[in-house]
Parts: sequence; C-alpha cells; structure tokens
Amino acid sequence: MSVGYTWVQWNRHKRVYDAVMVAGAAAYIAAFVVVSRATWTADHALSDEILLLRALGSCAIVLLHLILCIGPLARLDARFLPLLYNRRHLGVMTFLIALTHGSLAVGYYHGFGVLNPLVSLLTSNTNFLSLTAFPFQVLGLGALIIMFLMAATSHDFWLRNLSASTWKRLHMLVYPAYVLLVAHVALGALQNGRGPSAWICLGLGVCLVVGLHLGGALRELRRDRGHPVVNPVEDWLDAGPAAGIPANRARTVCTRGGERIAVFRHDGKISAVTNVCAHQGGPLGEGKILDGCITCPWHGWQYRPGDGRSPPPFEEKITTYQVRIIGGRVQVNPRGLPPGTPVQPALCEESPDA
Amino acid sequence: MAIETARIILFAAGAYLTIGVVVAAVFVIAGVDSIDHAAKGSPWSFRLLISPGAAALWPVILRRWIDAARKPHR
Amino acid sequence: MPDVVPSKASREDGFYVGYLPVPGGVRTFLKRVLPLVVCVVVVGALVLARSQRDPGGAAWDSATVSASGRLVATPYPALLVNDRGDGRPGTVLLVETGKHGLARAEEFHNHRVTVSGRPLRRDARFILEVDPGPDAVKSLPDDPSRPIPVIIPLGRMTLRGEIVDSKCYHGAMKPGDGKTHKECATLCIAGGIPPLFLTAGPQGETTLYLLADPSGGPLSPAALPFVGDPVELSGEAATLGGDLPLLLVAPGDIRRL
Repeated sequence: MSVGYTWVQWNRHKRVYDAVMVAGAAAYIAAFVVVSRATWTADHALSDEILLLRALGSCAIVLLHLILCIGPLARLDARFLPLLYNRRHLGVMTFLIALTHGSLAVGYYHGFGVLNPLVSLLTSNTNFLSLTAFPFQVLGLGALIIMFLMAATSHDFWLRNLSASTWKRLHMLVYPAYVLLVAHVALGALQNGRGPSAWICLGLGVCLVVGLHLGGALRELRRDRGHPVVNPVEDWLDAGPAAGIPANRARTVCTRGGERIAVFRHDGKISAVTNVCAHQGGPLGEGKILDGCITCPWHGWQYRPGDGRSPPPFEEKITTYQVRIIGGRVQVNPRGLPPGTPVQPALCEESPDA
Repeated sequence: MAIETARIILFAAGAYLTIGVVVAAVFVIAGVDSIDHAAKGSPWSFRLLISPGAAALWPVILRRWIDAARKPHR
Repeated sequence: MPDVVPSKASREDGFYVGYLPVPGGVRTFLKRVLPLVVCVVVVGALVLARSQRDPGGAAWDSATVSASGRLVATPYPALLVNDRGDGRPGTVLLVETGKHGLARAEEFHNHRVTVSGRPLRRDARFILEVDPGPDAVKSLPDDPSRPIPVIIPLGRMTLRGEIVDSKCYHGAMKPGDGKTHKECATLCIAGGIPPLFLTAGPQGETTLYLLADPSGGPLSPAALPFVGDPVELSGEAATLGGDLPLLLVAPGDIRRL
C-alpha cells in the first residue's frame, strides 16, 4: 500500500517471479535462434537482424498470451494467484521486448533509405483496403503505443494520481492491443511462412485466451445469481445463512445494479464491504481476514472490516454496507456508504469462530 | 498517406513529446511531491521510473500540478 | 476485543499473500505448473522457428572485386560484361550502399569502365554494391568494335510473380522478398535500386526480369504500391544485351492477385 514510494517494493516473491520470467524469455529467444540457425545454414541462413527481430516479436506475442491467461486462470483456480501478483513486471518486460522488435524492424526495413524511417513507416504502404497487401506494421505500432502507456503507468503512483477508474480503463486497452497484435501477425509474418504450423499456434492461442475469459465470466455470472431482495420496501438483499460463510472468509452478493458486495464473517460477526479493492480492483470477496483485516487476494492490500479503512499508516478507504441478521440469514443494504464509514457489524447467534 | 501528411503528424508527435520530456524532467524533480505526499523524499529511482509516463501524459500531470498549486492545503 | 488471526493462518488453507511465505499447497502447485509453462513456451519457440521458410541461397561477400564492361545508366545502372564467367555476356546491376541507386552512373553512361565493389550473389548471378570512394568507377579506353547497347523488343507477355528489389533479393536481406519485406523493397526501389520481377516457371524454376517503364526509363513510381505483392503484369519483354531480360511495364498493366 502507498506510504512513501519506491521504484519497486521488492520482496522474495517478486525476485523469484522476475528471475523465472527473464529466464523463460531468454530460453524462448535462445531456442528460436538456435533452431533457426540449425535449420537454415550457409548461404540459406537468415540475416542476423531478421532472425533477432523474429525471435523478439514472436516472444512478445507468446508472453502477451501468457499475461492475458493469468487473470481468468486466477479467477478459475486461486492457486494461479501468485502468477498475478507481479504480472506488471511481466507486462513491462513484454513491452521492452516488443519495443526492441519494433525498433529493429523500423531501423532495418525502413532505415538506410531516401526517407526518414518513421515517414517511410507511415507512407511506404497505403493499401489499407487489401488483405494481402495491408500495411501490418502500423497495427504493431498501435499496439506498441498502448503497451508503452500501460508499462509507463504501471507504478502505483499512476493508479493513485490517474484515479483507479481511469487507470483501469487505460489498462483494459490491453484487449484492443491484443486484437491489433493478432492482426499484425496474421497480416504480416504469417503470410510469409511455410506450412500451417504458425497459423495453428496463433489459432490455439486466440482460442485459449477467449476460452479462459469466457470460462471466468460464466463462473462469475453463475456466482452472481440468486440473491433475492428480501423486502421490496426496504430493498435489502438476502445474503444467505450466516452460518454458511466460512470463518474469516466472505460470500459475494450482487446488487440489481451489478455491484458486488463481499460479506465477511469474522470473530462471530458479519461485515460487508465492496468487492472491489481500491488498488487494482481485485475481488476482495475471494480474500481472507488476516491479522483482523480483509486481505485482497491479488496484492495483499488490507482493510478493516468494521470501517473499510486500511490500517495506519496506510490511508486507503473502501465502501462499506449496513448488515443485519434476521432468522439466521444475513441481509445487506445495497446502498453503499461513503468509503471508510464505520458500520456496526451484525452479531452471529452461534458462538464466535474458533 | 502522403509524405507531407506523415511529416506533419511526426512533427506534431515530436513537439508533443519534447514538451513532455521538459515537463516530466521538471515535474519529477520539483512537482511530484506537491501532487502526491507519498512521493515526498522518494528516491531518484522512483522519479526516473515515472518520468516516461509523465512525458507521455504531460497534460494530465500539468493539470494536477496546477490544481495542487492552487489548493496548497488539500 | 478485536479478532486477531495470526498471519500463518494464510498458510493453513492455501490463501496466498505476495509478501508472506507461499503456502505449501500453492508452492507444490507452482513447482509443477511453472516448468510446464516454460516447456510450452520453449516448444512454441521450436514450432515457430521451424515454420519460417527458406530465405533462398544468397550471400553478401565482404571482399571487394572488380568488373569491367560497358556501363548503362538507364533504365537502371548496370554493367554489361563480355564474360560472366562461362564465356557468355552478362549483366551486373550496380547499386550504392544503403537503399540508394547508383546516381553517379549518369556521367559514365555508355562508357567502358571498371567498377569495384562488394558482390551480392544469388544462384548464378551477382550484383555489385559499388565502393563509396571516388575511384570506384573508372573509365577505360573505348572499344569501337562493341556497339552501344540499345533496347530491342522481344514481344508482349503476361506473367505472374512478385516485384522485388535487386539488392535485398541478392542477399542484402534474407529473406529479401515476401510480405514482411514489402515496405523495405518499396523504399529500396523508390531510392533507385533496380526492381526485378520474380516469376516461377511451370517446373518451379525462377526467372528474373529487370523492370522498366515502356519509355525505357526507370519503373514509374505509380507501380510502387504493387511491390512485394503477388501480382500479374503485362508488358513488352526486351533485351539490352547481357543475360538479364527487361520487362517494360506501365503501372496500369499491373494487377494485384
């Protein structure tokens, strides 16, 4: 959480994460170069620059597939959450690899000529209406600009100073960037290869990304169903039996407006807060109460269940909701209170949790 | 795209980024503390890390910076 | 009294928090999954590397060589040599360093010269990247027994293939043709590098034509959007002597396939 910025809040996990991702990318690039060199030899060898830019470009799109799969995987199975924890470093590394690919491509294909390389990039092919001749490079440039904006604003400073919603919207641009890159590859490199294997790889990648996102969305849709309004006058929501919520865990309910509320049971009491973490919008309802604080499953940001405030010296606040227990069932007032508002927890009838 | 159009676009992008680099340089040295108190006394590595974003999003930064200067008590 | 759950509770039911030790179950899961992910990534590298096509057998020599013959500056700078190595006359296209045509060839048009440069070879043919120094092209005494070359028409033909730039195709870039090379080839030809038309015969054998405008000058800039694409074109085949036929094409006679 944000008390005094540093460039990276290093811990053991981030170091291991970064070491694995750098080693993985290096293994990819090395394997690509070695196999290409072994396949095409002597006079048939590929130019060094072209080999390198192909290795880097294909590495970047493989990594982008990984990045896009991590989110839904973590939603489907919480054991993938460690991959989400430092995903921003994976994103920054992918941008740097893509930037090197783009710089090599512009320098090599558009340099050494009668035009400024960037002018050549924008003007040497204007067949926008042709599928076979489409200037695929500008698609890559568009994706690179988005990836730059995402990498440049990945620090929590930006999250706080652009506002969480603007930051989130900016980072959702990863999906348009993905579409641009798939088109960049399909209209470019894939039209230059032999055989269908690269097409099959891209097809599998797109199916994986789309399939996992659909799977994650379906699961959330199913979870959001079935929280009836208990009293049409008051509009309070039924959140199910209090005893059914595991100790120090939450049940997530969804309002008719589509907002999710995390209803926590802690120390024999029930409290409700928004499901959306103030940090990156992580699902607090999938979190846990640790050291008396709701702990977000994504990056471990913490809030007190009684008032939705981070423990001092941190200053983050989240929306809280009124709760009550009637006949052993939890009811939640769907009208959220201003972030950080203290709310009296509802007391469970049975003995406090162990 | 005509070559002249491309030159105009690139000139505009270059001018935007040049202003951005200047704004970012001054901002990370002298302005960041005033818009976000968590940045007070932060190390140069953090300031360097946010400078590409500040150069790209300089109109946003400039607006927040001016707002913070107008409302020093906030 | 506030409820206090010790942090180690996160380990009991596998709840992961980045700044706390990784719970045992999650650790075991990661130890199985991460090597699998890295393996999939590396297998992806192998498959994608193998999916590249043969760039063709071409080489760019680092040693300088000299060639003598009659220099023609139009439609593109070329040296017509009496013996290309097998006793038959040959055509050696001449280019500058980078993506530039040999503009200095103008002053030597129709002269007998010696040219020094670095050869780019593909199959039995080579072109020369002329050395940048002022002595790289030197005039020789004229041989009046050799006629000044003129373009002789051979008949109209329609062919399918790809317009490439002669320098990259001969080994400056490998591959120097196809979709990803399209814009580089466009820049090369716009800079004066001679354009070639690459067409495959019924048995897959490759034939090359030097492209030029029907006026006998360089290919019209209006043809540039078709560079690097699969195209069909119609034009007048011709010869200038040497072993590289010409194809005189108007941009209106080029059609993208």
